[in-house]
Amino acid sequence: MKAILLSLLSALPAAVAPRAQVTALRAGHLLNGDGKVTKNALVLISGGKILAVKPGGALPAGAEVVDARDLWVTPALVDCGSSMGLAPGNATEEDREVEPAVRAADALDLTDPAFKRALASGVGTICVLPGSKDVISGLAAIVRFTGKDGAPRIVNPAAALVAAMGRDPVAGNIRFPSSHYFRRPTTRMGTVWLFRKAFFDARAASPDTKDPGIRILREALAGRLPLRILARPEFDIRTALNLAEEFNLRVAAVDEAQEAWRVAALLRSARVPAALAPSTRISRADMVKQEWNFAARAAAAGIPAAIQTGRGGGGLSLIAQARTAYRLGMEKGAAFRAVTLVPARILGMEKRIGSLEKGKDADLVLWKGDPFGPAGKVVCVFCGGRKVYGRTPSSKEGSK
Amino acid sequence: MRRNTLFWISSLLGALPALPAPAQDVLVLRAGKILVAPGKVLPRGTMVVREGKVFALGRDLATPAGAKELDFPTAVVVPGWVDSWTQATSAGETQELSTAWTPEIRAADALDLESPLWERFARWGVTSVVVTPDPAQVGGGLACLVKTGRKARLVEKALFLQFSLTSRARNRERPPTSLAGQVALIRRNFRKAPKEGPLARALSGKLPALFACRTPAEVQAALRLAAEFHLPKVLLEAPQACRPLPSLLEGSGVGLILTPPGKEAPPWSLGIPAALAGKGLPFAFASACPSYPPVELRLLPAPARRRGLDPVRALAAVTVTPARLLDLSWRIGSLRLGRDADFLVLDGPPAHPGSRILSVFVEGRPVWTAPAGAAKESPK
Repeated sequence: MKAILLSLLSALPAAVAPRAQVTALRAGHLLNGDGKVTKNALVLISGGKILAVKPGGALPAGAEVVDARDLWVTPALVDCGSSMGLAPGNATEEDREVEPAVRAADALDLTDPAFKRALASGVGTICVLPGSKDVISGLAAIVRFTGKDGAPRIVNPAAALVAAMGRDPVAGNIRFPSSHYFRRPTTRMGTVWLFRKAFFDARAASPDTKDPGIRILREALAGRLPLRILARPEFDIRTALNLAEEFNLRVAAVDEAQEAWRVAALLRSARVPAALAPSTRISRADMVKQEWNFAARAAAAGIPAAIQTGRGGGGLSLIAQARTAYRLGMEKGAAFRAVTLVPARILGMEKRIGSLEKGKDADLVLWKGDPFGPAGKVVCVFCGGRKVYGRTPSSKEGSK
Repeated sequence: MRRNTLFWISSLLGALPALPAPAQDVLVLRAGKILVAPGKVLPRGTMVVREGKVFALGRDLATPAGAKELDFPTAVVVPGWVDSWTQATSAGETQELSTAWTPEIRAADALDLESPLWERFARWGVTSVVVTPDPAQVGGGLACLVKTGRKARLVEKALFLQFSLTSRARNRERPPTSLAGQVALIRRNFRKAPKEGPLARALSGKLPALFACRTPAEVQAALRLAAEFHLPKVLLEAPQACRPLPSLLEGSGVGLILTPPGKEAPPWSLGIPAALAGKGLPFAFASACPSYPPVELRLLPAPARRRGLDPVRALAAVTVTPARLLDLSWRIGSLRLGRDADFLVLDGPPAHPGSRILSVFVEGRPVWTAPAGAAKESPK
């Protein structure tokens, strides 16, 4: 009796398994998040997750087959910094210079066509950053296309605490205390002073404080909330890392770090990735030295470098930015890592997105042609195993 | 309970019209058609108004001795229109710009009841007007209800609590300066709301909370706040030129007050009301007075009708729907028994913009009558 029961129980999963719908994707070229290309790969998907990625092999029985043998397959891209969905000029709360409780998620317009455009260019996850006109400007939001019919949805309204060094929080501030518009800081010294004061105050505050801003700063002090610090020139990056070290803060990335390659050793030893601004928008602000191939140099110097579409928006799509960096000298694999695996790590989502590996979300893009080629074009996008954009090339039932 | 009692009492009394009741303050109105509520027509009807309320409805009810009688054999009587969102009062008096958080201020305290505006509202067929504080404060204040006519009357001091997410409530002179800042301010104050007062009543659903919005981002911010704080009764004020309104509001349970699309509105904005009606979403038209040029409430549904809004819905959007959204359907918005006798006498179909208003009555008293030459038909 017991034996029968046992055998029945052990037979159960085997009986159930074939019923869970498996999709087998036959990829002509698989360009993975690590930048490596596999020809004639097979990706097995079930329940929105990736079951296996194989270099070819037999199709499993009963699987739905998506034939992409003449297409390129990649993980969906990850944009780790943008201002999509935020009204221009309305991204920063300028009431005070330290606004940890202001959330980009609160001002997001998910009906902004920019989200649709991003999806159509192969982006599956977007991090929206509040503006940079404050020393601490609030919380970044993560948006994924997992809503109804592939609509964008806020999956994390408090992904990181966003801060800025350099000229951005200073720009436009009036330095005369007699003025109605007087606002600190007006120098880099003032910026750092405000940053340190905020964290000193948060540390000194009582643990059961009700102040939402201080609670958020304390989360960051406890290492539960990572920081994203805007720092373009070399000395701002140094300042950011010094501050992080002083308060033992976890820095997810230094943003728009054009001169990251000049402080490569420091970033490597601090294990801080650089989220680079688009190569098409080289900032001359902040006394940054002009260097067209800063992305290539950062990657060559061994810094994990991500490319973002950046605040301001309106520029090229993320894949076009990666292509630009590639043409300016960045190695192809590094350029692709910079829009997939590295930004996934910056967002703390490397266990779910950024590459096609067993157990990760089935976020993938089918391209006609090499995504880095001039004619590379998105055919369709899957998010969590669901097709959210485009048309599946051709699907037929596998042999039973 | 209150409505039912009123209904039974008045229908009982209405069944006994022959009783020699004291007939002071009684008006008997006979008309070609009485539109009790949108879609509910009483042809060749008689309406008895007593002490400003609809007392009886029927056919050929007898006139008690001493009662005033009016007969409009071919005219249509419809409920008075409700303008559900205005700042109709002395210019600037509803803008408290000094601070962003003022949930206790009341538009009722800035009313100028002597203003000629109220008579103009009556002339345009509007018998009830909601006046709100200007959406220049984030935590805006309380709206009130005014009955129009030369002798306008304040009848309700705390109709709903208004919050503003519009760009008017953010500026560089005074915090907050951004939409995220407005939301953060509202959240901070909701979390530490006092146990009593308008804010507490809005949070518990005893008072509707209205969010004034202009852009899709602001509408989404309002809906997220409503969900985050489980606000039981939420109204949204948004202009017609806010394209994703129908898809955003679907399934949200939020009542919508539609303000005019504006002078340079794109043509698609005129189709928004029909799209909302198609999804079964409740909405009311409002004039947002004082807008420039002044907007006549009765002209707002007309372009929407050309884009497919049916006439019953169009009329409901200026009568029963605003009354229901404002929790005032026990009092205004229809001519059911026991409701205030606020009505218009029209010479044509009520939803037709070409129909002329012959007379306007507020609580049974005429507040405006068309000049004799202008009307095709005058009361006998």
